[in-house]
Amino acid sequence: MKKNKIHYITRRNFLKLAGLTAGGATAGHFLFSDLMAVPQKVLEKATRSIGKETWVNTVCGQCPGGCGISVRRIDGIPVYIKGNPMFPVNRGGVCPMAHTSMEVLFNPDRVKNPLKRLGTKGRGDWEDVSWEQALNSLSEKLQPLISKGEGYKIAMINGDNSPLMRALSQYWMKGIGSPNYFEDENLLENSTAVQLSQGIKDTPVYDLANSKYILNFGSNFLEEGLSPVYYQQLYSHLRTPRREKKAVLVQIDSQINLTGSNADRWIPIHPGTHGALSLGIAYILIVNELYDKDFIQKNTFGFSPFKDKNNREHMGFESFVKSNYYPEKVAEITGVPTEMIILLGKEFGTHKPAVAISDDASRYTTNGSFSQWAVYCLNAMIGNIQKKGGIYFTPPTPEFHLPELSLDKQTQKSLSHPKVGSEIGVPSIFGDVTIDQFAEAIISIDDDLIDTLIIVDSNPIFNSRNKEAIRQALHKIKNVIYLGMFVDETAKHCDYIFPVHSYLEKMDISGPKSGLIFSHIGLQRPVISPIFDTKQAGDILIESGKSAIGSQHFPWKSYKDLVRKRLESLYKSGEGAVISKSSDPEWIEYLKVRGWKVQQYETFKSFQKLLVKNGGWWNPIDPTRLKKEIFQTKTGKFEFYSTTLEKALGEKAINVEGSTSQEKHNRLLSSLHISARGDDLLLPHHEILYSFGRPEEFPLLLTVSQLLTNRDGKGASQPSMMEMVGIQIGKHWKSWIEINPDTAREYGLRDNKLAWVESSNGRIQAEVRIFPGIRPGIIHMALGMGHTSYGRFGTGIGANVTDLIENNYDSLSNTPALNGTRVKVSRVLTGV
Amino acid sequence: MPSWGMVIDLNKCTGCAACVSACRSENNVPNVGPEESQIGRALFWMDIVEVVEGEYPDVRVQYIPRPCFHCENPPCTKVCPVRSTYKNNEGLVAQIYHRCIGCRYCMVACPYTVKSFNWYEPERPEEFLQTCNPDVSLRMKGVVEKCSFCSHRLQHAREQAKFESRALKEADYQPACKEACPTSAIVFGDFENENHEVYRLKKSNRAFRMQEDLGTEPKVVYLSRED
Amino acid sequence: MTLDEFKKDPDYILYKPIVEKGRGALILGGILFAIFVWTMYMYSTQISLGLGVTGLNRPISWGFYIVNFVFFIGISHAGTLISAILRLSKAEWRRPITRMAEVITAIVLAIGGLHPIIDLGRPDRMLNLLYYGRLQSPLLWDVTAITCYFTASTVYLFLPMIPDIARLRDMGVRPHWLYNFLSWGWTGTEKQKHILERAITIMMVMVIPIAVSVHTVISFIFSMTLQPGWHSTIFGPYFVVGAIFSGIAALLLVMIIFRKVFHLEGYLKLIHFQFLSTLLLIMSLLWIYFTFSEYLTGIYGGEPHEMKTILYKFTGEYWPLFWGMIICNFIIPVIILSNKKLKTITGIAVASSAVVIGMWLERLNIVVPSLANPRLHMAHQIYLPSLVEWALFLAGLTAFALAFLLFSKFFPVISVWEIKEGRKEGLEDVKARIESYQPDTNIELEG
Ligand SMILES: Nc1nc2c(c(=O)[nH]1)N[C@H]1C(S)=C(S)[C@@H](COP(=O)(O)OP(=O)(O)OC[C@H]3O[C@@H](n4cnc5c(=O)[nH]c(N)nc54)[C@H](O)[C@@H]3O)O[C@H]1N2
Ligand SMILES: Nc1nc2c(c(=O)[nH]1)N[C@H]1C(S)=C(S)[C@@H](COP(=O)(O)OP(=O)(O)OC[C@H]3O[C@@H](n4cnc5c(=O)[nH]c(N)nc54)[C@H](O)[C@@H]3O)O[C@H]1N2
Ligand code: SF4
Ligand code: SF4
Ligand code: SF4
Ligand code: SF4
Ligand code: SF4
Ligand SMILES: [Mo]
Repeated sequence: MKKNKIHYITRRNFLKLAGLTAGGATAGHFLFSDLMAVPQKVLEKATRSIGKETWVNTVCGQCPGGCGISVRRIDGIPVYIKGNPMFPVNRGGVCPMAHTSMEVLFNPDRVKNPLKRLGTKGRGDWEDVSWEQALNSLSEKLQPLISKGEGYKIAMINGDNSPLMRALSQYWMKGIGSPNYFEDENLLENSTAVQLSQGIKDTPVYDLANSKYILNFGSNFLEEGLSPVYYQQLYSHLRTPRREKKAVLVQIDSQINLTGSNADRWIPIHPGTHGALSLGIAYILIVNELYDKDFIQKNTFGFSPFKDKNNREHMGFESFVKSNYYPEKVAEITGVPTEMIILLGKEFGTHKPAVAISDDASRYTTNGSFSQWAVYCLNAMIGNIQKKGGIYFTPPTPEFHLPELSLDKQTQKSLSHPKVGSEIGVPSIFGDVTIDQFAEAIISIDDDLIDTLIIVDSNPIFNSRNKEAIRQALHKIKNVIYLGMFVDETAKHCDYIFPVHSYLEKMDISGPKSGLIFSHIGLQRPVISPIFDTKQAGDILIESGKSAIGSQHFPWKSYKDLVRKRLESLYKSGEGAVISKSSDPEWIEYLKVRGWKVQQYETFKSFQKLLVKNGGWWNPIDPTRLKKEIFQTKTGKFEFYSTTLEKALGEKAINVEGSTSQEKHNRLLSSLHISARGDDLLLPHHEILYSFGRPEEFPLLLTVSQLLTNRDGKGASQPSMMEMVGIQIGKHWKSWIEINPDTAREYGLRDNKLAWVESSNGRIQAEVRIFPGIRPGIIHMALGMGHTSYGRFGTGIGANVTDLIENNYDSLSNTPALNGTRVKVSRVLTGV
Repeated sequence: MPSWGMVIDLNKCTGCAACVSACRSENNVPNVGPEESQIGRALFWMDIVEVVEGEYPDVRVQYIPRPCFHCENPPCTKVCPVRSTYKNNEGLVAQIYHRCIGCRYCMVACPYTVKSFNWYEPERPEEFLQTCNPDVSLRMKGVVEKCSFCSHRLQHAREQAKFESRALKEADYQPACKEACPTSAIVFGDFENENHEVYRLKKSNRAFRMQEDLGTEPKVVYLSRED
Repeated sequence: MTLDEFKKDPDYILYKPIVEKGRGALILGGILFAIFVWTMYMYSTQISLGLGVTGLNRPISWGFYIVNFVFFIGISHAGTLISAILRLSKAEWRRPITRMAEVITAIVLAIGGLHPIIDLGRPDRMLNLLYYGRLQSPLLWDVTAITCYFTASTVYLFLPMIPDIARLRDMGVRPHWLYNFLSWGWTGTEKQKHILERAITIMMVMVIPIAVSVHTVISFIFSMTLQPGWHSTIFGPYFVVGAIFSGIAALLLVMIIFRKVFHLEGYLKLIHFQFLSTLLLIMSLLWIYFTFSEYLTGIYGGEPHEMKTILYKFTGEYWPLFWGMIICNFIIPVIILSNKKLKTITGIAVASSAVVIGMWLERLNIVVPSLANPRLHMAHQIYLPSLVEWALFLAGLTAFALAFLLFSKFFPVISVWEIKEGRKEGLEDVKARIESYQPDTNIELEG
């Protein structure tokens, strides 16, 4: 049988050939028999026995969303996936990617057995090795380092989002004595806004289902939310006709994305100015006295002028906003008309309950934390924290602890080494060292800082804006082991590839997801036995841990065993219940009244059996938590004036060489591109977007988003996802750039024709989509296209927008600033 | 006789395309690859129609899922020279793939452009063949295909109900797209049966059908957005 | 009679290409055949790979094959219909024209009739049309009408050929068996002549409604759908007019070519061309009248989908084809043919070529733009024919040339016996007829 990708091209070439060979008809092409015959595969299909049908519940692993699914199997082979109606996250719904899971499972380009590099790094030549050889080679590297107390020379980048895998990876790294554990950007949880005001790292949960007025500052929750299907369900609830007035969803974004297209109103805004707009709205709330005076007085700090312990006067949020963010000024910054600002303010202050949310567009920018903070404060102003239709904080899931590691002196010493990369560049205020700083450190420092790097389920060369640094680092590190399914861009530059199970072949835990109003745990279980010679990443860690660290620290037969332990701890906590058909609202009401202690399981066995059958556990009790749990600031209140930031800046400032403390402070701030000083800095305020590109040369701003069909590029292994990648707008197997008709005219771009987009980082080509639903002066593109190594389906499809994006980060949290790179566009003259 | 029909609530539908994906997986809809889809050869039983209204900054965008409407009075079946597409005794507009001569007259005649054609022999890697749904036949080159309202599920449901000696229930027969829809925008059932939700929904004052003036009487009813 | 005697026949020039087969024809035939073989090879790729080798897509799922189908069937109206009308109206100047006209019909109809089969995705299942054929489908109407027309027009071509074939047989022209077989024992007795004339008359009356119906029915495949730009009641007559229009143009071109190649200036005189081209002018005016009515109705009604298609034709990607059509079908013929000075053989050749091209463009303008603008918005697609489609267009043209070449090498392209008859009886006939037209005033006076 012909192989696909290549075959598509062959067909065309064949035609060209047919044209050329003209009269000299080669008889081989007169395939009349082919025409008359029933295709072989149809025959095969027809003769296949009527299979036995079974359904298995598990959790979708195509994205961190964690939806419960039921897999239909025919003779044990998965053929169809639907949502598990019992599962609280998605209640039977799914997103497009769930259905193509089988294309991952049976993907012809999966790595089918361990591979060892042949020839120079990055060439892409591999030699098959056995698992025994592969694992031996790993422990051969680990053992000497550990015994010498040089465990810190081992690093790990983990992108597996299973909470259990994350815990195990951290445990493993601690066991070998290495501080160099990095998590993929996808595992970053952004809680800076909450941290600034409340001193906790929790993610707020928006009670959208009960809200009547949703002011959405750029969150594309229907598409890019942590769990898009969960948000789809909420949205559906919002749109179910009821007796009361319809809830209003206002989308504040520079472009109409999937969420925007479903909003009641779209307010086009200049990228990176969401914070300014929310301060303008705060101004309207203040001057019209539409804020919750009672809440502000009892529960907040820094709203009104106050004196600090040195008796210095501080003006407070109210006067700060009044003197700096009057509507005319905000209109100038944001591009939102004055009347609209006034209207939004009045509506937000009078429609109850209302909520202000922020994400994506307002978050992935250099000023993301400040923007999100300003938005978040609007919620405190109307006092909707811990209120129906407002904001909640989900109670934690019952805890699970891996055994206490008893480390020897040597290992403890190794562990206390600074993290590689922490000495490079600017320290982040709340964020960790980034993978890209790690890579920069590797290539700029001469020593063999790191001897062995293990990458689990992460593709930084594709996702990073600093690809070259990561590539060089991988080349410099002697021994790089990649645990993944495909020879992707990163795997290509590694020394070993340890192929892992697809999610349909493994046992794992999913959840808890932040952003959901209940805590839950999903159980992923194999629906088919591994079809290739692969292993589960967890088992690799356990096995190598046993040999390198000591089997006493890894008392589990396999990862499955660990999963069982996790479920046991859940059982023992006595909280929540296994999800069931009766997870309907009335039943929940009943349980709330009766108390939510679940005694129905006689034994752990019966609990486990039910959980495996139904697919998960949850605890949907009232999410209201104690004030002192959620306000862990110095003042014990919600802070408009952030003492948390004050303290953090103080601590970090010392790390910078310099003379006076004021200078150190200033140097830190300017290297973080923060312009505010004094009180302004510690109050929610607007910072100007930072980009290397000069506006004269690069007049446009680039914004990006992820698609439901591909997210950050994982969909590219599945031909069905590429075929429908832009189905809503009739785009298949390609990238496109969205641009306003006026801007397109200005630069001579034509619809459906190719254009160049160029930034100070590089340039790419994509098809133009002229679209009135985007602000003039903006270019919008989807992430995740343009793989250069991702199997036959994804490779070479579209363009990778991260090639354009500058390597900037949010000043406080080290979240990548994906939006706001300056670019220019031009027509592609050659080609159609 | 039942009148199977679908209601799509545009108030709830987000345009997420889960229905499209579910349909492709359930009905073994083949992929055609980059070059072919670039020239409009992709096959979709469920597709999404984009409607952009207004000019910047007052723009509204709406995505409308579009299966075959299984018209009561289908222009497509009328023109078929060999009765390869026809209205079956359940009122569903069906296709007989092995009879179709590939004249594409029905494609041309369908005012909603819902039919797809197999320009080449559908290709899938051998590995993917085993995950095809055995209940739905694979198509061959040169024939037309389209949404069947997942009629194989109806067949199955009827057999099951008969086996259990009971009447067919609403939940017995639900298509894949409905099953996948995360917002429950799609509702499916019998328009004639007052116990089915579609019976009530089609009477909504938001209900409309595509280009009703054509007299095709589509059995897919949309509920307009409330603004 | 011997060959030498035969050569003394005043109309020998009409037999010359048959008796003295030159090398030129062989070479031309060889070239045409080679081209044809290549096109069939291209077609074989379509058979083995599927219709994907064309430029078709969704929503434009009909293209060149259907366009050429309508076009060729249109051209086929040259013949039988025109010849029948001329015969019926007893136009004396018809004599050197009818044969060519009838040959065009038979050949082009065969070629055109094959197009829907080329267009099938599953030609191997063609017989399903017999097993499961649904008479409700306009496609079946086409099949029926074309089969009928083809039968009638071949018979109608064949009948008047019998005396000429018998002459060839008698002259001992090779291959004997062919002429022997086809002459059907014709000896030229009075009885035979009588029967032949009866038969021709019957066929002539029958063939006119059949011809009209064929093209009407072909228009029905479009107008029976609800597509904007197609769903129109005047499509039937519009297509018939277009067909006759293009048919006459094609006939004129064929006449001009044979006149030149076979030196038939003595038979095909300027007057023939002028008469026919006047007819062409009339058809051009009729065509523009229909076109105008068609578009005015659409534009005036202003139904959005209809409007979209019309505007697309005027200004969309295919605008040069639309305006090219207007120029070719109206502007050029009207300018040339309404001007005495320009109405020369060359002028007429230009006008006719323009019309043939223009009518082909018209078919394209009907098929493609409507499909490109479906009622429900979808990603815009443009149709560009592939090499295979061009090859098959070429196949149609070469098949036509080859078949005509072959015909002209075996049969006289002008009906010799009718010419002879015209010389003998025509003049008297016409005189008698003209007299019979005269008002009966004399008789009244006498009475
Ligand atoms: N369709 C689709 N689904 C995806 C993805 C995709 O690309 N497409 N991507 C997947 C990936 S890779 C990821 S990482 C996730 C994205 O998931 P995350 O990185 O977690 O980002 P969000 O879900 O966008 O935001 C998390 C939560 O933070 C809340 N939040 C907003 N502002 C603040 C704030 O100031 N402070 C705090 N503490 N919380 C705030 C948001 O309301 C949201 O509930 O989505 C996953 N799901
Ligand atoms: N420029 C840019 N960078 C980004 C982002 C962005 O939007 N833009 N997003 C950030 C975010 S939010 C995220 S989530 C990360 C994503 O970063 P990653 O998590 O690295 O995502 P991928 O690169 O898609 O996938 C990594 C590897 O996982 C393997 N894989 C795919 N499917 C499976 C599976 O089912 N099981 C297993 N075991 N392996 C599988 C593949 O081999 C793939 O190469 O990128 C982050 N970085
Ligand atoms: S959002 Fe989609 S891909 Fe992610 S877990 Fe849910 S169904 Fe799977
Ligand atoms: S799955 Fe539901 S919400 Fe998504 S596009 Fe289809 S109908 Fe709309
Ligand atoms: S929507 Fe089109 S294909 Fe479906 S029944 Fe109606 S006319 Fe036929
Ligand atoms: S393409 Fe097939 S189904 Fe459609 S009209 Fe022709 S024969 Fe009938
Ligand atoms: S009803 Fe079935 S065949 Fe039709 S669109 Fe839905 S899933 Fe596809
Ligand atoms: Mo992510």
